[in-house]
Amino acid sequence: KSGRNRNAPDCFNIDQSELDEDFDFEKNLALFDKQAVFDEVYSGSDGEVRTPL
Amino acid sequence: EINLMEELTLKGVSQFYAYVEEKKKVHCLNTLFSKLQINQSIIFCNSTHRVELLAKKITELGYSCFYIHARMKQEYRNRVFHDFRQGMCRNLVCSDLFTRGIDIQAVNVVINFDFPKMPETYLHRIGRSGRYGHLGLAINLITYDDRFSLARIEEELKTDIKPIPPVIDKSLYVA
Repeated sequence: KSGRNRNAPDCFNIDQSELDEDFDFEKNLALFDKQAVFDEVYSGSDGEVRTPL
Repeated sequence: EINLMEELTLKGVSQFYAYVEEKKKVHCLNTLFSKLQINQSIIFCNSTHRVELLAKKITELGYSCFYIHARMKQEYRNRVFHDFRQGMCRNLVCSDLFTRGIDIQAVNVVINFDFPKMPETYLHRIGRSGRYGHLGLAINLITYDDRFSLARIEEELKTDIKPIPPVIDKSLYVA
């Protein structure tokens, strides 16, 4: 749907061995600077087209 | 529509987000299941197809679950939901079906496996009826593509969805 690559592996095709370790919440949270992202969203500077908030 | 929103509240619900790549969502969910003290949980997906895929995956992981979605007959959905309410299964995977919020005291964890686009949808999934709300957790799996929805939902519902802490205080969601 909506232009996504239908052949891309999705989250349901997970390899069982990937589940042996816990998901690293902290490491992943560090990839998302919420404040910086929100600043971009509100300033409209990240280039994406969307309806105004 | 507006009246429905006013009857639901986010009060008492501790809302967190886990930042995740789409392909790691099941891994994330599996870890949540192992770490959280779930009495009963409801897990939301954004499509009926994904509900079916996720329910199957959760079962493969060794957790019991029921599932319902909009393409099922109303009568069947009602029966499954009734059985879930009776405690016959710990987890329910579903698409957006609850226009009046979820009214099951035993559900102490709601997980947005797919983050909703609309504030109303978020409120219908996470919000509770009643003046004092309900004690519980809402865990939102957020991808980079969800950032606009996250901003919009926090803004419009005047709520704050915090990063998931390393340890979640049990008093927030365990009776």
